[in-house]
Amino acid sequence: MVKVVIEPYNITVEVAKGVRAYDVLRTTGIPFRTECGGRGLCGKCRVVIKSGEVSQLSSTEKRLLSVEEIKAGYRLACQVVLQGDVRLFVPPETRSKGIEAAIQGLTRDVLFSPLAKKIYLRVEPPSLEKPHPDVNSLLKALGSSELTVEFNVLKELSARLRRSNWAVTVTLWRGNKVIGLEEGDTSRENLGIAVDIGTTKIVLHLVDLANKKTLAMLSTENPQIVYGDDIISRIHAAVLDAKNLEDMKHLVVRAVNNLVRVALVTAGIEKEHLTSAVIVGNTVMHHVFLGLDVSGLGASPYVPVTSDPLELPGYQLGLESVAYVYFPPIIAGYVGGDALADIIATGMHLKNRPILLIDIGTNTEIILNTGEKLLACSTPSGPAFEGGHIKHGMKAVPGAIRRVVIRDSENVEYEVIGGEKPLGVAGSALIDVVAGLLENGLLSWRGLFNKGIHSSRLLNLPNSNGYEFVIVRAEDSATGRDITISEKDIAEIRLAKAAIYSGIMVLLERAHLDPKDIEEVLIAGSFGYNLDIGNAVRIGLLPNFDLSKVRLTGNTAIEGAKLMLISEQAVQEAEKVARETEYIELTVAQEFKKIFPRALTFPRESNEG
Amino acid sequence: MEIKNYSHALNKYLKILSRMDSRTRLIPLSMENNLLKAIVELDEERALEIARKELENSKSPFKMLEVLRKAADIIGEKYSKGEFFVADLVMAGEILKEISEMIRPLLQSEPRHEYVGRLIIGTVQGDIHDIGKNIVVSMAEAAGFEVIDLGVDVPPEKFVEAIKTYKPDIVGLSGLLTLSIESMKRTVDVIKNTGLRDQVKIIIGGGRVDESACKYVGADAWTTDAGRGIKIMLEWVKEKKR
Repeated sequence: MVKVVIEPYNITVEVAKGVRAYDVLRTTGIPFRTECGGRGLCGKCRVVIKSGEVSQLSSTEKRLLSVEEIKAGYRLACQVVLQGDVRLFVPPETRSKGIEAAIQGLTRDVLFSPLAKKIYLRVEPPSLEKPHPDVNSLLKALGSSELTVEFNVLKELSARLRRSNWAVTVTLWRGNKVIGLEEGDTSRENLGIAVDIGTTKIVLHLVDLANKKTLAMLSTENPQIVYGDDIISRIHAAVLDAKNLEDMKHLVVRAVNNLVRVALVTAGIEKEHLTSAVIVGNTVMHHVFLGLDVSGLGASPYVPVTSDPLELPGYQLGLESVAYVYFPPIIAGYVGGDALADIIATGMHLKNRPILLIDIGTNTEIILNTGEKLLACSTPSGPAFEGGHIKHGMKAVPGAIRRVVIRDSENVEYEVIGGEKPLGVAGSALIDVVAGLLENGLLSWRGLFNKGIHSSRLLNLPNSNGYEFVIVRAEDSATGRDITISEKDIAEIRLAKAAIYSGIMVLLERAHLDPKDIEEVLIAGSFGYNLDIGNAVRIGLLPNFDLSKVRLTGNTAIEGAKLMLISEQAVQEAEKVARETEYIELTVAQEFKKIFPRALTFPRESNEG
Repeated sequence: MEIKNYSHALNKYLKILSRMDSRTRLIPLSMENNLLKAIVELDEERALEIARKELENSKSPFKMLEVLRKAADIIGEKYSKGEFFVADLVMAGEILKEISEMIRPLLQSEPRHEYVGRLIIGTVQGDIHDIGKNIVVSMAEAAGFEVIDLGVDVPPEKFVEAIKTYKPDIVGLSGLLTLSIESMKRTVDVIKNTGLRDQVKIIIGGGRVDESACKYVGADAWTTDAGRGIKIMLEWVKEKKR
């Protein structure tokens, strides 16, 4: 093992000898720039080796770095291998905010009343006439004897009161618990974090709770990915061996701790203590973060350990820098606090007309406000739209094609995130490709290529799975290979889109509503703002909504978490919504069995959609 | 103007011709080929229409049963060759199920009808995935099996009870999750403990089963491919009759 210190964040990690700096940054959860995914193509992952033993300069580095840079100690993280204890520096140009598109979203105004409040107090010292315990004097100054005081505050209480000459700042949690005590007036320093733990990525917002300003927004890959890219694999690992659960918990907690440090450095704040956090995630991510047993979620009838909201001191979770953490309640087995946060951010629960919210991810949560009540379901859309199970699929990160227009069987136009040569295809572009192929008669409603059409882009190579359509030719791609889509890829897309469509239709049928009755359709989640709604309808991912009523809302889960962080009222609303939302289990819904197999084809004519 | 009218008329004429062609050539001449083609092309609407017409005309389900058998065979084959995908199997399973349901009442009123064997099938306890199981049910029925479907999340005791009641040739345990393999083992153990293990062949199926899972569970065979599963079961009933 070797020790790595990562500056300017002052994060120390122990890793195996012989690991690339690139992999250290990735597993530590530090967002940094890369456009080629660590393949030595883009030259963006520059780091400075300040001291320590590392591998020799590679020919790739000699080509991509200038002589001056090499002199200054610059290396490429994807090339440099750590051979001893190393101190490395992430220079400003390499720092990244992570996956830009989906780290914020639609939100609304709520009453400003943060869960953690800071109050500056003058406490009356005890005397021989009034020999009151210090805690009583503190509570008297706060004007309430109903409050509880955290044990770790008690431990420091007497010393701090005396050192500060009886002038202290108290941190009050939700109006009923003293969770912090500082000497003097620090009432202006109140920082909190909102965190969305996704199966594939973690998003964090650092918020100044004195003025509700967001100071930093970051995201990183969920390092639990080593246990598999979907929820089922994670549950399986956790059930197989309790050590795996413990390890997954440590991975995600460490990633959040590191993101906090990066966020503080990004915002230029020297302070290291946060008063509060609100953490949302799907039910499995929630349980793993807390180290709760997930075996109930792994098998029918899919129940969590608890669906109640939880409040815990940060040190109990391993979040040493956070005083107190709030986890919102869970709606049902697979509709977690993240979906609840979606509802809160959009305010869809406050309206009395039909509104539908779809949060697309590996599991897609669908919430319908029928106008009278809320219905929720979760549908297994799989990782296809996040690039999983698709040969040239990838997440919506730099280097991914995000939009495609197929003009005709020979002419394809596309747009790449970051603007450089493409590496692969993001989910939004996959939908564009399929819609374009259908429109141009290159693909049948069955999902098979029309082999009668002659196109230099339609290939049937000997060592491949049947026909493939070339989206980007080898000479134009960053990989030097054709970027293609095959019938097998299209079959994965058919499964994913049918799952989402069927989930929507089941909720609509339960509410006796037609797609045209929905007055607002909100699409959140992994597509960010890249999805072409018309194409989504064309391929049958969405039913024939009135297109003018469909809106992309970005990452509403993180926004909802942030609203709860800054507003007691939002928390009250969330707890009420969780109690009142009616959950529909799709696996036993008869309608789902009827709709799903028939949604596996594409709508036969464009005007049907 | 005139030319435009002419081409319009010509188009109309060609359309009528082509429609006549498909009608005259396909439906009356060979219902079997037509139905087979529709099923294999996964054209549900057309397949059901042909099946409905055929049942109205002939009242005999046997010709159609034979088509279902052939279709299931071709579809399984295409899946094995990588020409069909899971999405296609789900669609095919649904079409086969619809047609099987249409002909089932007729089969039951046919005294001379003989099933090739009897299969009890269910998704094991703790698992509620039934798409794979439903495909097998449809294909097994198409292959001539009498199928008793116990549904999903089936506890071991329910399998035992069903074995006692129906005396099947084969028991099929289905499950998608890796965790379901434990549940399959428990089911086989309970069947063993009640002394019924020798009376049935047991096959396990699902996304994550393999040779080692089969040994661990104590089953006789395993499959991740419905078509191959049907072939194994047909072999078993053939052996038994010898």
